[in-house]
Amino acid sequence: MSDLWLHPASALILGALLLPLIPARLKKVWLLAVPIAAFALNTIMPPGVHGQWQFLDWTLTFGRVDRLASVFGHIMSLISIVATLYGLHVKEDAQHIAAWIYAGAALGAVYAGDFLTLFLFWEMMAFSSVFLVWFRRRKESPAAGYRYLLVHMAGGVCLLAGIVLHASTPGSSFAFEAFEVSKMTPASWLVLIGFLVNGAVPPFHAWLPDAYGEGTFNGSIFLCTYTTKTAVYALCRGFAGLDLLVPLGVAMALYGVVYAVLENDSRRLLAYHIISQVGYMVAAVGLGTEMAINGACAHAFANILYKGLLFMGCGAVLHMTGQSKFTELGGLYQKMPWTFLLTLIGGLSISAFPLTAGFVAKSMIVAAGFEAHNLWAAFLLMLASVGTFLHTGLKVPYFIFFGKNHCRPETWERAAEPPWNMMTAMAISAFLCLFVGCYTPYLYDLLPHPVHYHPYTAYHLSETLQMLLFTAVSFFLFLKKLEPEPTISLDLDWPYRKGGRMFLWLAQKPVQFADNCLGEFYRVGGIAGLMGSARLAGWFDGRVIDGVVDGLAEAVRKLGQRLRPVQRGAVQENLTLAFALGAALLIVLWLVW
Amino acid sequence: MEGSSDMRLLLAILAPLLGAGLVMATGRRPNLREGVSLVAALIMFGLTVSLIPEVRAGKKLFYTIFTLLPGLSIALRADALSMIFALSASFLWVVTVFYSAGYMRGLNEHAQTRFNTCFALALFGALGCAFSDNLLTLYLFYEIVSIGTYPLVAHHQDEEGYEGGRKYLVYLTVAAKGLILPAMVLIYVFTGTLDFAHNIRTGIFPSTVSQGMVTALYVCCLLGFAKNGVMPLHHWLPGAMVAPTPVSALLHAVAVVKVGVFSTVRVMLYIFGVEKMDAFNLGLPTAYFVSFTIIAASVIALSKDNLKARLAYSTVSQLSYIILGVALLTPKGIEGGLIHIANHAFSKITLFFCAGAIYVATHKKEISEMAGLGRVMPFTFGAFAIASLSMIGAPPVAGFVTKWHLLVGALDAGSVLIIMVLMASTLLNTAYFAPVVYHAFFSKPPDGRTPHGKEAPLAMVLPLSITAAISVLIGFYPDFFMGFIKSLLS
Amino acid sequence: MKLLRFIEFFRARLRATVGVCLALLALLVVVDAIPGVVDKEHAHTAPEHWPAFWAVFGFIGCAILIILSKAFGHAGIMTREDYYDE
Repeated sequence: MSDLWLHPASALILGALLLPLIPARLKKVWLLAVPIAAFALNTIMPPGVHGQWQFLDWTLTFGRVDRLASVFGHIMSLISIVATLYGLHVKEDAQHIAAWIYAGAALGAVYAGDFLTLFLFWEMMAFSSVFLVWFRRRKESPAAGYRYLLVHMAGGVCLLAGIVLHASTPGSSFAFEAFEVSKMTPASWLVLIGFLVNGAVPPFHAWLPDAYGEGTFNGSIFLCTYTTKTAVYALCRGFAGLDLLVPLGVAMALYGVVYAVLENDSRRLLAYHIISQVGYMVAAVGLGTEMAINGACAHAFANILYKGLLFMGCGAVLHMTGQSKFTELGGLYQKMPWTFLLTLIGGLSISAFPLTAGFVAKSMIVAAGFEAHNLWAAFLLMLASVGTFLHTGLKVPYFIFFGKNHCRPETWERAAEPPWNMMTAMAISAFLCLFVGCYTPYLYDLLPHPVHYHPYTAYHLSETLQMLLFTAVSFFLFLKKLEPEPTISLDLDWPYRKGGRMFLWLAQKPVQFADNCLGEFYRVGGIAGLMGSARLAGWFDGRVIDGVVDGLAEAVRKLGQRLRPVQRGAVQENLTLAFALGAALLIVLWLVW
Repeated sequence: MEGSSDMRLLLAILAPLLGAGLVMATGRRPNLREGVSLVAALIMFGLTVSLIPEVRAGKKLFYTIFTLLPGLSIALRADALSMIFALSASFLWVVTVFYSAGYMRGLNEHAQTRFNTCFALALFGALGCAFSDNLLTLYLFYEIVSIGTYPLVAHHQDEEGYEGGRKYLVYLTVAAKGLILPAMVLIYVFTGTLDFAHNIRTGIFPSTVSQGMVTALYVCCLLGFAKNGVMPLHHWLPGAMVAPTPVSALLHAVAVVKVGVFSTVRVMLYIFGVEKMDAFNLGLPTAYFVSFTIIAASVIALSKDNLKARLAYSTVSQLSYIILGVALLTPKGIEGGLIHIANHAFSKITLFFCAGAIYVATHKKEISEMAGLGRVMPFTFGAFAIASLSMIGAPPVAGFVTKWHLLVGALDAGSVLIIMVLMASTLLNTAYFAPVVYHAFFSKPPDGRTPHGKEAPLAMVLPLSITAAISVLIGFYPDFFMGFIKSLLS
Repeated sequence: MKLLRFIEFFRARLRATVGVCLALLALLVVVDAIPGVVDKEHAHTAPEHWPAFWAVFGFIGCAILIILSKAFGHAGIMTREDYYDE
C-alpha cells in the first residue's frame, strides 16, 4: 500500500464526528460537502486491494475494490448526497451523525476484503441505524427500535458464529470470497442466515416494515437504502448460484406484494415493497449467471434511486401533513402537485415502465430467468411486477393524491409543497431515474460483467406496456375493492413480539423470585449455623476454660484497663492497628527465622 | 528457583498499606487526605509499571516475606497473570480517587476518612492477591480484602447498609473459611507445598492423588472463592449495591470481584494445571456449570429497574465469561478469559461511574425515572453507551476481542453449546442495555417537562470518559494485554 | 401552478381522457399482433407468441392478486390497529 488511499467511508464518518464542531452558519455547507467528498473519493478509487491493517493474528483488508463492490459503492455514496440534501433543514445534529455513520459503515462493508472487517461494519450499521428509528420519538418508536436492534443482533451473532466456524476450519482463509454453494457447511449456513436477516428475507423479514414505517421522514431514506442492499452485495459476493435462493427470492417477491396490497400505511407499504424488490435480487443471485448477477447489481442500483424517491415522496407528505395512512389522506394533488408528479415517476420507475431506470434494470433479471430456462421463476417475477405497479405505481399515488379525500381539516390546512431542499432532492432522483432509463451506458458500464442485454426491443416495449397498462385497467375496475381499511396486518413478528412479552414476564416473576429465595438462604444456612456454633463455643468457654483461666483473667483485665484509652472505636483505626500489629509480628518472625 | 528477588513487589503492596495509615492521620484535612490517597495510588501504579519490561521479557520476579515451614511461606511473585490484574487495579485506583472525591463531596457523605482508609486497605489486599506466590498468601490477602471492604459496604450505617454488609460478610467469609481453608490444608497434605507452579500446564499435584480427591478439591476452590460471583453463591453482589457507588465501581470492576475471579483462575491454572484438568475432565463441565450463571444472571438483569442492580447482575454474568474462557482449556479460550479480566474491568467501571454520576446529578436510581436524561448529561450517557457496546461485544470496543477469542476457544474445545450460550448472552446483554440508552436519549419524561439537572461534576465525568476511551482503545489495540497473555501460553 | 392546471384540465374532461386511453390500449394490442413491428423471436415460451398475451396476463394477474390478497387478509391477517398495545 504505497499510494495514499482514503476510504470513502472515512469522509462520512469523520464528517459525522466533526459535525458538532462546525459553526451554525457553515453547517449546511458541511452537510453537502461531506457526502460529495465521499462520492468523489469513491469515484477516484483505483481497483485493487488497499488499506490493510494488522490486528492481533489477522490481517484486515479495508479496501477490496473490484467491479462488483464499486457499483454498490457508487450508488451508495451518490444517494448519500441526495438523502442528506433531503434532510438538510433538520437541525438535530445527532440525526445527521447517525445517518452518516450508517452510510459510512455500509460502504465499509461493501469494500471489506475479509470477514472480520465485514462483521465490524455489519455491527456498526445495526447500531447506527437503530437511532434513525428512535429519533422519530413517537410513543411506538422505542419499542420498534428495540425490536429492530434485537433482530439485527440475532442476525449478527449468527454471522459471527458462522465466520468463526469458517475461519477455524483448516484450509479456509479469512478472506471474504465466494462460498462453495454446492457444498454448504454449517458455517456457510450460519453466514447465509446472517446475510438473509439483513436482507429481510422471509422468515427473517418482519423487522423491516416494523422499523422502516417508524423511521423519521428523512432517516427512512437512509434506512431503505443501506442495510438491505449491503446484504444483496454480500449475497452476490458469497452465495452466487445457490439454488435455494431462487424459490426464496420469488416467494419473497410475491409475499411483499400481497402484504403491500393490504397495507394501509403508505410507508409500511413501501417497506413491504422493499421485500418484494429485494426478492428479485435474491432470485437473481440464486440464478448465478453473469446476466443474473448483472441484473441483481443493476436492480440494486436502480432500486436505491426509485425507492429513495418514493420514500422521499411519502416522507414529504408525512412531513407536511403529519399523516402517512391512506385512510387519513386523499385528494392532495390540489395542494402538492409536484410531489405527486415526482412520486409518480418513482412509481413508474419501480414498475419498469419504459424510459425509466426500472425498465433497463429489473427486466434484466427476468430475462436472465428466461435465459436460464427457469420459466416458473421468470413468470412469477413478471406477476410480481404486475403487483408492483398495482400497489406502488397506482395505489400509492392514487390514494394519497386523488381518490376520496379523507383528510381532516387540520391535515388539509398543513398540506403544501415541501421545502426547496426536499423538492430538489426528489427532482434529482427523478432525473436520475429517467437518465439511467434513457441512457443505458451510464449504468451498464458500471456492472461487473459485460452486458449483452438490450432492453429497448420492440417486443420488450410491447410486452411491458401491455402488461402495465392493462394492470391499470384492472386497478380502476377494482377500485372499490381496494379502498383502504384502517387495519394492520399480522406478520412473522407475531411470535417474537408475543414471545418477547412472555419472556420478560418470566424474567420478572418466577426467575426473580427464585433468585431472591436463594439470597435469603444465607440467613437460614449461614447465620443460624453461625449463631448455633457461637453458642456452643460460648458454653464450652464458660464451663471448661473459665475455670483454668480465671487467674490469668484477672491479670489480663488489669492490663486491659491500662490500654483502653488507646481504643476510640473507630473502625479504620482498629483495622489499621490490627494490620500494623500483624505486619509487625510478621517482621519480627521474619527476623527471628 | 530461577528468577530474581525483587523488593519492588513488597514496596508495591506496602504503598497502599502505608497510604491507609496516612489517610487516617490526615483525616481532618480533606484535600491533604485525598492527596495522600492519590500519591499512594500513583506509587503503587508506578512500581507495578516498572515491572513490565522484565515480566515481558519472561524473567520471573519473586519476593519472599517469610517462611513458616518448608512449603509454607508468605511470598510474592510477578508473572504475566499478576500483571494483567495488577495493572488494571492500580491504574483504576488512580482514576477512582478522583471519581470518589467528586462523588463523596458531591453528596456530602459522612465518614469520608474511614471510607478512604478502607479503600486503600482493599487495594492493599487486591494487589497482594495479584502478586501472591502461593495459596496461603493468596488466601491471606483474599480475606484481607473481605474484611477491608466490609465497612465500605455498610458505609451508610442504615438498616439497608447493615443488612447488605451482613450478607456480604457471611457469604464471602463462610465460603472461604468453609471451603478454601480445608481445601488448602488437604492440598498441603497431598503435595507438601502450596506454591503455585511455574507454568500453566503441570499443576502441583503428583500423579498419586486420586481423581476423586482432585475433583473434590477443585469444586471446593471454585465455589469457595465466592468473590467470583458464580451461582449459587452470588447473592452478596447485588446485596452489596447498598454501598456508595465508588465502592460498587471498585468492588465490581477492580478489587473484590477480580480478586475472586483472579484467585479462581490462578488456582485453576497454577495449582491444578491445564493437563490435570484435561485429564480429569474438569474443563468443559466447569464451562457448562458457569454457563448457567452467564445466562441466568442476564435474565435476572432484564427484570431489574434499579440501575445498579442491573449492573450487578451483569457483572455476575460477565465474571463467568472469564472462568468459562479458562475452563475451555484451549489456547484461544484461555486468552479470551484472561483478557476479559482487563476488558471487563475498564468497561464495567465506566458503567458504574456513570450510575454514580447520574445519582449525584439527579438523585435517580431507577431506569424508568431516567427518561430524557441523556439530553442533559450527554457525556455520561455517551460513555454508558460505549461501555454497553463493550459488554455486548460489538466491535471495535474491548468486549469484542473477548467474545471472538471465546468463540474460537469454544470451537477448538468442540463445544457448540458454549457457542450458543455466548450468542444468547450477546442478545440478552443487548436486551438489557439498550433500554437504558434509548430511555435516556429518546424518551420524554412522564410529566412532559424537560428533565432538570445538569451534567455531573468534572471530577466524575473526566474519569468515566477516560475509562470509556480506554475501552475503545483496547478494542483497537488489544496487543498491550495480549502480549502478556501470549507469553503465558508459550 | 402550471402542473395543477394541467391535471385539472384532464380531470375536467375525464370521459374523453379515458376514451383516448382505451383507444390507445386497443391500438397497442393490435400492434402487438403484427409480426413485422413486434418481433417475437426472443420469446422463450409458446404462450408469449399469442397476441395480447401480456395484456391478458397483466389484467388477470392484477385481478388475481387483488382477490387473493384480500382473501388472505380477511382470513385473519388483517386486524385492528391497536392489536399489539397492552
